[in-house]
Amino acid sequence: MSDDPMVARAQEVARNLDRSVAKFLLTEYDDYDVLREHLPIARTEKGQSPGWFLTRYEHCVQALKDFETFSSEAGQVKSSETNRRWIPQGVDPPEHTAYRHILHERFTPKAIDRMDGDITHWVNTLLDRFVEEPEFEFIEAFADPFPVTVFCQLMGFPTDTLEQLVEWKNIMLHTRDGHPRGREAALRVAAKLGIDPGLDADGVISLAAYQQIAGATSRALYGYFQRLLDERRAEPRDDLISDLLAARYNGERPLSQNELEDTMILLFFGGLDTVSSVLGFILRDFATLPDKRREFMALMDDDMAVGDAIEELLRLNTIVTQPRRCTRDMAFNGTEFRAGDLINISCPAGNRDPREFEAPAEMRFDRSPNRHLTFGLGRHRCLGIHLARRELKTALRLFLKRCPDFELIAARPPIAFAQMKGVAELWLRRT
Amino acid sequence: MVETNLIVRAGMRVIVDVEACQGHGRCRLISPALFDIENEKVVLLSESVPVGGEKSAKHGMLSCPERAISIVEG
Repeated sequence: MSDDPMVARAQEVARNLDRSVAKFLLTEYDDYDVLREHLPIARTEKGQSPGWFLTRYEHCVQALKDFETFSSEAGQVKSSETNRRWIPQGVDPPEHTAYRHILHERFTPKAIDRMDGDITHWVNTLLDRFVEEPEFEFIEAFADPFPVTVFCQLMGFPTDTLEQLVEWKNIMLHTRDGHPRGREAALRVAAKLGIDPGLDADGVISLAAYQQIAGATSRALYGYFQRLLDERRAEPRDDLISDLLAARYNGERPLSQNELEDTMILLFFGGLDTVSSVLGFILRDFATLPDKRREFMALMDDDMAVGDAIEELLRLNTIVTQPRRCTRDMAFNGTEFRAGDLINISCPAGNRDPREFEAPAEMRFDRSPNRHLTFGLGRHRCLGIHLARRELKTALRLFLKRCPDFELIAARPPIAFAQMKGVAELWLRRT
Repeated sequence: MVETNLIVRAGMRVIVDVEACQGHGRCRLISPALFDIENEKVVLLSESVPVGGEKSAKHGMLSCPERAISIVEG
């Protein structure tokens, strides 16, 4: 324990930091501020990924760029069921580079430009179903199905399995983090399998039960991928599954069945959850900050200004803390890291570092420079960056045009969930 | 910060560090006349800052998360 009271306070914050429980969200940014100033390279023990926790922007940048020292492959928390990695996120260069090369064609800015008309159409189709209602729940009606629809089109997944995909995603990622639909879907699987969910005092499903539930769900999901791969092998189409089947790793050999499935699972989780989460947080803020909402609406038809505004919304609503594993003993800005240490690179904390961002808690739509870490940096920069931006821009523009004024409903407050955080329920009332 | 104080004028030379670039594409969104993205890397459409493009060239440079863009005296 340090003699300096602020350092002692930061040590207490680090000791109690548990990103896997929903109440963490209530103090998240205050906790990061304390750590960043007084214990920027903190040791954390609780939650799913105990290890070092980086909260300063420059430290995050340094660790993200140094892929040799900070390995993504070893840093990945593998599913206990399959012990398989996610490609390309959980693979280091040079292998990573070869996989990435296979995928990137469908994610270039120009490829996303070609999807623009479809994206607009799907946004309007979903909005038609609920946006005129006096009250609606935004996440289940829009934030969940919208990215899944785009993803299905890109991959070549049949859109009639959309609800099933959302449910699998919620079970795999959101059984134990405070997400009501994730928990309920997991309970249904437990009942079907005849497993005791082992609920604790807060109603949280036990880790042991979750592992069985996730195992069964994972088998169902891989089975689904295998059926689609078989179909496209027999009859290729213009979609990403067919691209993967036709691809040659380093121009030499086709991808193995495991490689195909491990790539599909990464795209599945990467494509389905993050855009949904960011949209939920943004609209929750816009419901409570009408001045900011109007400021955004005043600039949203200006392509240049809306681009900057969306980067600012992305900076303030960063979902992913990046896990890496240290590959050698080293001194990192005065702290000794050992080979094998898990390093959590907190992009949400780095994105609010006052050393890099003036008045970091303020939403400034014309902020410049705004070199945020939301999509990561270096070789593992988010593959879906251009798609995510386009989805957010189109969704926000069209939603706000059709529903310019809205508020939260006091009797039905938003429900947020932790870890890969997001909003599970967001009831809105038109005003 | 030195770079935020930089006064960008037409004719100044734009330099990109292709190794550092990871294709985030912020520059392309901000200054499509100057920057494009091919194979996850930046492509310069002009080697110098065009007349009228001073502001967006500087904004594009400042926005690069990898700090791969610099603008120097021609």
